[in-house]
Amino acid sequence: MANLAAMIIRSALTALAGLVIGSCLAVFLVFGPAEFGGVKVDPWRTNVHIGSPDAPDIVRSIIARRGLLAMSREETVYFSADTDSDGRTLDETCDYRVVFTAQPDARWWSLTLYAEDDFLPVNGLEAHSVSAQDAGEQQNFAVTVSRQQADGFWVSPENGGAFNLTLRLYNPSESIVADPGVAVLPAVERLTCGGAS
Amino acid sequence: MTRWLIPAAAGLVGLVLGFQLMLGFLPGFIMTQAMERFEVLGGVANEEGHAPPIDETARSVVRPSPDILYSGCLFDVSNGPMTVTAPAPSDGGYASVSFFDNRTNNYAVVNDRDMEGGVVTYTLAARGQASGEGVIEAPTDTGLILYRRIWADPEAFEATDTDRRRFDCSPI
Repeated sequence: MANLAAMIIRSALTALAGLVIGSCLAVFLVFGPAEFGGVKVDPWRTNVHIGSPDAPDIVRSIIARRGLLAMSREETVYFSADTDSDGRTLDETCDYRVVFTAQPDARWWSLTLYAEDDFLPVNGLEAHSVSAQDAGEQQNFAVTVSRQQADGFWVSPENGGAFNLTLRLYNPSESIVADPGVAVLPAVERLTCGGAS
Repeated sequence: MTRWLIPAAAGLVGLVLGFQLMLGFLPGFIMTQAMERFEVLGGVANEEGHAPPIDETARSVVRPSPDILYSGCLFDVSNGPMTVTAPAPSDGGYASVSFFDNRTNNYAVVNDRDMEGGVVTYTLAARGQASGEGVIEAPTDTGLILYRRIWADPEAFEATDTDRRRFDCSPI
């Protein structure tokens, strides 16, 4: 009888410990460095479950933290990059070129730079995004990412730390909706690092 | 053997349960926090608000787009349906109205292509409250509606801003 009671107590305590550890693990995964990537078009990532009621709980939670109020992919596909095309973490002290060989296949698009806290970097430069409106009819063009102002299309990572880029495709083509992996997206080339601010 | 096997199994069940329960809880929690932070909506349900143009001071919701003008309303259809009216851009640009339940799911979205005649009105209702054309059923009684309007041309800002303020949420 005493053995049974001891086992019940042990079981209750380990169940409780498991409950706490499981909860903490979930919080760590959601608020940690995990991305919501599922489909990869290097260095860009997206997840077909964004906005969807069918999203697994883990994906929904991460999206809620990093892309709250994102629309479903039938309306907008969100690609995010936190590395360059060679897999190196984006860093505000480096300069980059985002090289488009064609405009994204969507009715409208925008490229926006976010600081590592997922908000626009606070630097007073108002150089956070480039859009289809800016590109006009051009197909081959590049966006410079640098703290120093650049000619042409330019966004600034000043005070962005390990920043990230988000490419939004509004009303994307049917083929991209069906499989975001077929999207033709710009390369992110690192130029130099360590320049003065 | 059994002496430790049963407690170990109980621990494992607790681990999985805790993990799943927390994942089920977090989206609603994050959504509630965001709705409370969405100060421009005033915290008043079924009444529209119009956020100022997004700049680097915007901190209500992560990854705001500086190319978009946002209007929106918190909805609560527990006491009856409401109407949502949205204007289509006269310049042929993009606009959309997206509906989010209180677990962050985007359960409905319409865009300017659906807004024939320049303006569209929908009825948002809880399950069983209304039916027919133009009725959108909300899976949860509360949530958020967001109107997005592109304003990439700074010279057209004033006209775009005036026009998007025709977005309206009203209880029936």
